[in-house]
Amino acid sequence: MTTLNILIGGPAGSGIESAGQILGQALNRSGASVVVTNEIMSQIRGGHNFNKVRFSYAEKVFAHEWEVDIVMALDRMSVADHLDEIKDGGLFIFDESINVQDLISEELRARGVEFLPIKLEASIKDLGGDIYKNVLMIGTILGLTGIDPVFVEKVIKDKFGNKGVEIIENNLKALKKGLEMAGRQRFQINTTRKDSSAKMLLNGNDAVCLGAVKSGCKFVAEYPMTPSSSVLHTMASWAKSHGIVVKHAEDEIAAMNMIVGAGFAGARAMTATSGGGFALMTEACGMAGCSETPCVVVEAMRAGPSTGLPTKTEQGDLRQVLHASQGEYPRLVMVPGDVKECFDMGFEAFNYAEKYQIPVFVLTDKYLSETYVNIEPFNVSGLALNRGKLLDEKTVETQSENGFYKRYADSQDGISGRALPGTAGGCHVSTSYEHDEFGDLIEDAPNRILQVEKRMRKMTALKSELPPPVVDGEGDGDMLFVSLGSMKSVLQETVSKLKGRNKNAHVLLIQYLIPFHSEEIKSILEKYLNAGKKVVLVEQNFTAQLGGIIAENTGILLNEKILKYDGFQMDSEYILNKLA
Amino acid sequence: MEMKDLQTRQNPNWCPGCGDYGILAALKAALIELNFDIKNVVIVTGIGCGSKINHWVKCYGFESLHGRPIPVATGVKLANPDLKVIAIGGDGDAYGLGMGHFIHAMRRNLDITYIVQDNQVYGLTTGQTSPTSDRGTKSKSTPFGAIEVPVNPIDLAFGSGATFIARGYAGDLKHLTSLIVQGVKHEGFALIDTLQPCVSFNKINTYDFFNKRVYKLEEDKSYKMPFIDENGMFDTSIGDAMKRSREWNEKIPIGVFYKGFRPTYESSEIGLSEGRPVEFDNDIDIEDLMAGYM
Repeated sequence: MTTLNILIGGPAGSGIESAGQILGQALNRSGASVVVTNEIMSQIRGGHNFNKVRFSYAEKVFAHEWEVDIVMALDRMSVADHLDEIKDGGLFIFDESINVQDLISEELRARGVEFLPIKLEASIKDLGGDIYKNVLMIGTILGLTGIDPVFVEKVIKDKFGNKGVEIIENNLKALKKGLEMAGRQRFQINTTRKDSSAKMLLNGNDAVCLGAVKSGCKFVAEYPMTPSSSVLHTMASWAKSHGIVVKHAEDEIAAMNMIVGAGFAGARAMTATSGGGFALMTEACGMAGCSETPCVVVEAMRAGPSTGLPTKTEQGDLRQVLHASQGEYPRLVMVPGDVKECFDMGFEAFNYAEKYQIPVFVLTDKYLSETYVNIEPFNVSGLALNRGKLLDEKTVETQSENGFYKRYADSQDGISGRALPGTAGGCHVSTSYEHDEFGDLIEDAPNRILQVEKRMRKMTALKSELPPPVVDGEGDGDMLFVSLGSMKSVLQETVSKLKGRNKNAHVLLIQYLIPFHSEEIKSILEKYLNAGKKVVLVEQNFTAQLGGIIAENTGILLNEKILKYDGFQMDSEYILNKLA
Repeated sequence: MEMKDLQTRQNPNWCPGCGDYGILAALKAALIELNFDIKNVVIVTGIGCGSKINHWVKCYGFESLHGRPIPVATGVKLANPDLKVIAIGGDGDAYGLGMGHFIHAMRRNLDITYIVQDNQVYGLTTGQTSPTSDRGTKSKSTPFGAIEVPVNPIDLAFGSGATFIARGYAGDLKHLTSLIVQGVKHEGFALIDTLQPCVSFNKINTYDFFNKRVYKLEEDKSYKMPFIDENGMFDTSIGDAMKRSREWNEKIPIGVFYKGFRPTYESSEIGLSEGRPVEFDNDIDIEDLMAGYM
């Protein structure tokens, strides 16, 4: 056995998320490749939450998988809800007080699925309470899989270091007790470490934050909204160490307007939200476009419409972000595909925003934002800030006439030199109204044409700077998947499985929605279509929004689609089943 | 600094006799008296006739969206606290669309001065009722009379923790100039609700209406400014201020209702204690942050 997939389930508030974190970090430190996904309900207590921890020492794991080897259940629902996910020979572990007899079908028995009751609740009472339950469960998982407990012990010591000796001691006791309760080792996993380099365990939101800090982001205004809230929490936790002003604003309208104000003043400013909050921000997105004020907006999509499924994933906001705000204005919409790209784009977004004096949107989703993977520390050498055409009190004169500065001076690339408040000679009004080169209000047609064309011209230069799309895959592909965002990791798993079936699948991920690399994408698609190859669109939504965007930009309508919109990220098996 | 130093390329396009001329003149006179370097002054406005005011004062300006001068001004101030930030908007900006921001800004106590051009009508959209219109006001949007009671900005400011609460009158330049000077000098959020006749759409609250009624709190020896502590607690001394904030039909008080002290938001903001967000370091170290995930 080279890969194990473990589900830990229970009601909200029972430490499920923390159990996934502790186990995930211990596996990371032990040299495994690991993915931890969280599926939570939009409530603080009760309901049914679960984590899936998928890991391997022999190969790299990219994404979660629906089918699991072990289910560690804190309540009956965590058994009942996952009966169809258990693999042949899989194991359910649960407290002895939970009666599951009626759930054990002939079919499950025939597939060799086992049910193992343990003295979870009784042991917890001896240790001093429910808070030790998750560590005890981890102990049992380690016992069943033969993984060295030393890594979990270390994580416990680090995690609870500031909570006192007693807490640490009790957790270690709970771990030991859990190990004993496992009885014999039932799963043989190859634990030979293939890769010994130290890695980080982090999610997409964490990576965006790291990229933003590296890029000099010093102002964050946000209103909490799942799944973007951890951006607010993480940046707030770094406020002192990195001198970042973090404002929990009164609403998303305020948050967006604040970052426009901060961007105008000359700070690198960011907000993060999800679809509903973004809807409130849209008017100010257009203001950033018209006033040519740099700012960065992270939109972590969740399942809509309206409040929808607040804690579930979807890629349903592509059109909302593409068309945010009335009128036409230049903007950049970036779609990172994995945690590494979240860091890269989290960093680059600020350079593009300042260089082109535009709002930049980083579009993620719940799955990417909150799924933990382990990767090597980001290589920061060569990352340089580019603040674009900034004017100082000497250079501002080159863009002035009779002592008045032309904030919106026409130029070849559409970008005007920018004087920040505090710069002598740079007085002007940045405005949401149409304006002339000075920023004064005039409504005549020639000026309107000049300013519209000046603004939109920025897109040409921007597009030429963005890396063009590339197909991932070797040799001549048998087929092509076309997708975006968090589907990247799922498709990496899919491609690897197809390889085992002697099928060479290629992948085209669209990283930029505006500007769109129409010609490049068209020629890639034509290459496969003209050769009679299968081209399959993969999206986590109902209306195939990416497919529509591709069609309007290339004239090519992709008819073969794999879509999912139940709130749970599709996995490689889902795609393989749909292909068959 | 002289008046000509504040001259921009254009001149105001307000209706002849508009109260905004008085506000503009007082603002310029106040800036001259304060003698700030104009490169460090930012006037953030909303949308409306009056919000075009920053186009006619030579300093830095941001003309934002209807209702949003306060959050934009907040972003400017928090990004660079060295700037003198004055927010200006109408009664629709402040007490209609932007009511939420208005209240939060006061409890936040940023060092921002907010001049509200309160003409009790929506001028730029040609004369609909506003949040400060009197009950019964007939307008295009309320042809049978406004049913709601008007918002009381002074009362709201007391309830929201503003540390400087004043009412000005566009028809008394000298007095309004003095209020703006005091408001800008005040360390904390200063509200200057300004009575502003709209000559085109408000035929009731005219210069004549106000001239007959306004009196200055500073000249009324019987007015005792209330005491409010840093946590917002006050005693019965607030009663007189509350009573006067409701005076309208017979006489209307202008001047400073309240001036107190509470530390500004900026002075307690932890990120600012490490420097201004507009300062740049070209090689920010994130090694420690990354180590936190290992």
